[in-house]
Formats: sequence, C-alpha cells, structure tokens
Amino acid sequence: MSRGIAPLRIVSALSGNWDNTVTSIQSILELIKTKSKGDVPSEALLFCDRTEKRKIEEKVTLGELKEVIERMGLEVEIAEVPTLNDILEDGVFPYHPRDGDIINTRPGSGLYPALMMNSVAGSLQQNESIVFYLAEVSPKGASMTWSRASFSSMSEPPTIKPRECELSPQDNLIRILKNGGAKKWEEAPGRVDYNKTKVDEFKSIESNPASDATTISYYLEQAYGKTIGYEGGTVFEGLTGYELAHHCGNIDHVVINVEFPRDARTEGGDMAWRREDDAIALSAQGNLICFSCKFLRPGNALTPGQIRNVAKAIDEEIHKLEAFPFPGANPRQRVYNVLVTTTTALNFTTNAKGVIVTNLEGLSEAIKHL
Amino acid sequence: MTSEMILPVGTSPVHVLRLALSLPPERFQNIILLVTERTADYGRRIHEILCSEGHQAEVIEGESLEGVLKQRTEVSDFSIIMGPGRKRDSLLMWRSVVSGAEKIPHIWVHHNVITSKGNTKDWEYIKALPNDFLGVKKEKHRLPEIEVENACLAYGFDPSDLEADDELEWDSRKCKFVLTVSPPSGAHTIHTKKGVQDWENLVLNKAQRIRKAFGMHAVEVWHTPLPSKGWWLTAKQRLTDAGFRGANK
Repeated sequence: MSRGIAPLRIVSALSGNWDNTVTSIQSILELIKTKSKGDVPSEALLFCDRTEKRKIEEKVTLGELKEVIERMGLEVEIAEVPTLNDILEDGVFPYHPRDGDIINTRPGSGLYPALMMNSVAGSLQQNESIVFYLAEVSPKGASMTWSRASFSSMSEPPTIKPRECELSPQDNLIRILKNGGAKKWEEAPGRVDYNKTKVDEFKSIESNPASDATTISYYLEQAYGKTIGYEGGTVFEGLTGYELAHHCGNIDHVVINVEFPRDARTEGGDMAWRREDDAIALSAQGNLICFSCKFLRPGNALTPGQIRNVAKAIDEEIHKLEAFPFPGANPRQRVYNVLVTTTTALNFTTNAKGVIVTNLEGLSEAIKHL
Repeated sequence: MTSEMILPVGTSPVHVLRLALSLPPERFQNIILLVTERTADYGRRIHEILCSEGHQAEVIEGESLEGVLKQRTEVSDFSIIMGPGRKRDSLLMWRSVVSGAEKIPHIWVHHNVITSKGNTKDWEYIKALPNDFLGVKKEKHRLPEIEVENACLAYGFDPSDLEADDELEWDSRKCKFVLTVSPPSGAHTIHTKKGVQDWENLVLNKAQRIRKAFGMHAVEVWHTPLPSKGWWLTAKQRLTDAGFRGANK
C-alpha cells in the first residue's frame, strides 16, 4: 500500500501563543527542504478557535498572521472553529484530511492532535486509504519526530515510520517579545559603543575580591567612557547588554530594557509595569534567557548590617525572577533566568534554585550551555 | 476479545487516578499506566489503589510500550487518552499502538463543560471521540470524586502536613489542592511598594512551590479580597497574572 505521496499541506492549530505556530511551521518547511529533493508543501490549513482568536488578536490581527505564513510560500486557509468545548459537545470538527497532510502537533491544546488524528481515521469511511505525516516539534524546538503513516480501509494493518531529526531553531526574538505583549525595548549597545579593552579591565578588576569600591568605580567609568554619578546600575546593565551581544558566542540576539505593560495603574495614575527585564537574549539553541542586573558595590558590604542588606537585595531579586513567569506562554523548558551581579554579592546567592547567578566576568561561561 | 485503555501518568497523578477509576472494569479489561522514570512512583501508587478497587491494571515504562503491545494479539482494540499531560506522551501512545499492535487507536479525551467564566459547569467526563470507521460510538464516563486519603496516597504526601497548613486544603469534588491566601492583618495600613511586594513575593513563591509539588493543573490558587488602593492594585494584577482568582475589597 506504500504510495509515493509527498508532504503537501501543513495542518496546524493556531494558538494564542502564535509564535509557536509560526516557528513550528518554519521548522517543518526547513526540514522538508533539507531532507527531500522534491516537492515542498504549498498549503497550510490553520484551525483557530474562538478562545485562541481572542488571545491572538490582543497582539496581532489574523490577517497579519496569515501574511507572515504566506511569506513562507504557503497558501493559507484559516478555519475558524467554535470553542474546543463546543466541538467536544457536538462532535463536529471541520477537518477533511487529504493525502499528504502534515499534522503539526506542536501548537495549541493537546485536543487538536486528538481531533485531527481521529478525523484521519474517520476519513477511511469514505476513502480506501490515506498517507499522512506527523510532525512533532520538541518543546525546545531543537528536534522533531517526523513520521510517515499509512492507513487503509481494507484488511492491511496501519503502518508508521518515525525518525528523529535535528532542527535549527527558527525563533525570532522580536516576534517572541511581541507575542509576550512587550511594548518597549532597545537594541543592545553596538560593538563600538564601548572600548573592549576597558570593559575587560573593569571585568577583571571587579571580579577581584581585593578590589575596593573606589577602584571598581574608577574602572567602571573608564569602561563607560564618561563620568558616572549615581547611575552605576544603569551603566552595569549597559555593559551586560554589550557583553551578551558581542562576547557570548551562543547568543543570537539581545535586547535591553524590555517592558511588558498592562492596564493597571498605580494610585498616582501611572502605568504599572507587569514585568521589566534588564536584558532578554535568544540563544543559538533557541533558548530565551532573561537577565536581571544588580550592581552592588563592594563598599556596600562592610558592616554586618550592610552585608544583610546586600543579601536581602539579592534574595529579593532572585524571588522576583522566580515568581514572575515570562509572559506569552513560551515553553517553560526554553526560558532561563540569570542574575548578573557584582562579585561581592555572589556570596549571598545560596537561595538561587531556578536562577543562574554570575558576575560579569563569568557571564559568558555561565550561559554557554543554554 | 478484550479492550484495553492506555493512560499516561503525568505529574498530576490524582487526575490519572480519576480517569482510571471512571472506567468500568467490564468495559476495559485492562488499564495500562504509562510511566516515565519521573512518574514511576506515582504509577505504582495509582496501580495499588486501582487494584484495591477491583480494576485490572499494569504499569509500563514508555520505551517498552510498543514491544508490549506487539505481544497483545488477543486484544481487539486499544484506547488512548489525549489532551491532558505532555503531548509527547500522547503521541508516543498513538504511535506505539499503530506500530506495535498494528491497530488504529480509539481516541478519548477529558471533557469538562466550561462556563464563560471558566468554571466547570457540571461534572467532568472521559469521553470517546466518535468514529464511524473504527466503530466508536458516543460514550462517556463521569469522573469520580477522590477523597483526601487517596489523593495524598497517590502523591506520597503525608496528610498531616496538609492539616498543618491553614492555607492549603483538598477539594474532593474538584480533585484539586486549593491554596487560599489572605493579605496580612491591617493590610489597608500598608502603603509602601516594598511592604506590599514583600507579601506578594511570599505568596507567589508559595504558589509556585505547591504547583511544583503537585503539578500545575492540580492546584487552584485564590486570594481573599485585597485592599483596592495603591500598590495593592498592582499586587492584585500580579496575582491575577500568576493565575490567582479573587477580588478587591
């Protein structure tokens, strides 16, 4: 029964986390282009239920999203369906499987693959056989189980041939930020915004426990290239962005000062920010790394009272990172939190469980596995 | 000829226990509990409870499923549940039935009718997806309530620890642990950002710890009314973002 049917149409759910749909479709196309000599899919059928549509339209219109996928060379049909709840109530799911369909299992609720695969089996009521594909992109986006399945309505048993494939991640940091609802961010400092030698000197001096506050401040100013008043923390954030962008080999893209707003306002009527990240980076492996920078001068930790304050500040920062998940329902396996702080403060980070803590000197080493 | 149901054991073992207990033993002659290294203990405890309730069940490790199904030539059909748990487990079950048993699995889902406010309308069910070709008719079984003793047994959690925590309780109808946090006494006199955030971080971290221990979907988090002014409005919003339900005063 093995017929030579090429993968022709990608069938997928369109989820509120729409970036997941886009990247998984990109991954599927990339894989097919690399592995097969012949046809690539030319169509995409995307199911979007009312609940997910509402979530998507908080960020982009369905039209814009359709255009993003059409730019990949696919003719896109968006099938709007009622809520999954209603579908399960009346049992009608408007999917008519065709030979060569590729079921993308990654985005959306697990009920979608269930409904799609049930529809494929049900199609044998009208057809003699069907050949289809299953594309299971892993949560990290770095691999895919690609299966070719063949069902027959005659007495032949069903067959399935799975194989594991490695993927190059198709993520895009700006898309992830938009998907998470971020409204403001800045690109990391450029290569020539700082003098590398001066920055290296600062890192080296700062990481030496014998360095005093005055020396560290002097070298921080040297690295910054200007006199610094009270804004040592801001300069430290800038240097972290610079290091990430230019001296961490596994970082693809980094932005700084990212703000995720929401509607609530403070008593004074100001906009309250749901979450602010000093830097967010996308690694070559497709991991999302969120950075908080805490510049605590060594001179701040001389007396027992000052030591307590530093420990508390670090504790609070770690709690904050652990307590507020990254907005946008990114797979949690791909989101990491890093606290970049000064060397003195590293001694007070015993409570860090889910957070990587490092000084600027050790930054590249601390995140190289992500 | 017999029917068997395969259920993946995830990190919310009570949910799997409910699904398994809802299945009439005369309808499914065997329940396969699919476990991973991480969920093997949960599977063993669920198996213990199922056997004590008169169900035939067995625990199988994910990687071995296909090989085991190959031997089951006497089984007429295999059912799997898709939806809850990790997608990769659902798909592994599906592939294993097709490849090992050379059959197309009957797909079941967990169904709870949800109101527009996100609450469960009546009962929760395990429901078959009808399929004319496979001869699957409309069929559903109501999920039973699970008492606190069995819930704690499934988790390997000491019931006395639950009794000792005033903010945490087991809801046997919802089959969920319910965490209800309250603002500190005299909350309306706390006006500083730091004062409010200290409380907020405390409860967010507690919620996270409990979710980690019992599984995301096995925990419901609530807060009692918070003062509706100043930084408490921000705290309320942050709790909402973290999945808390509740109101302002």
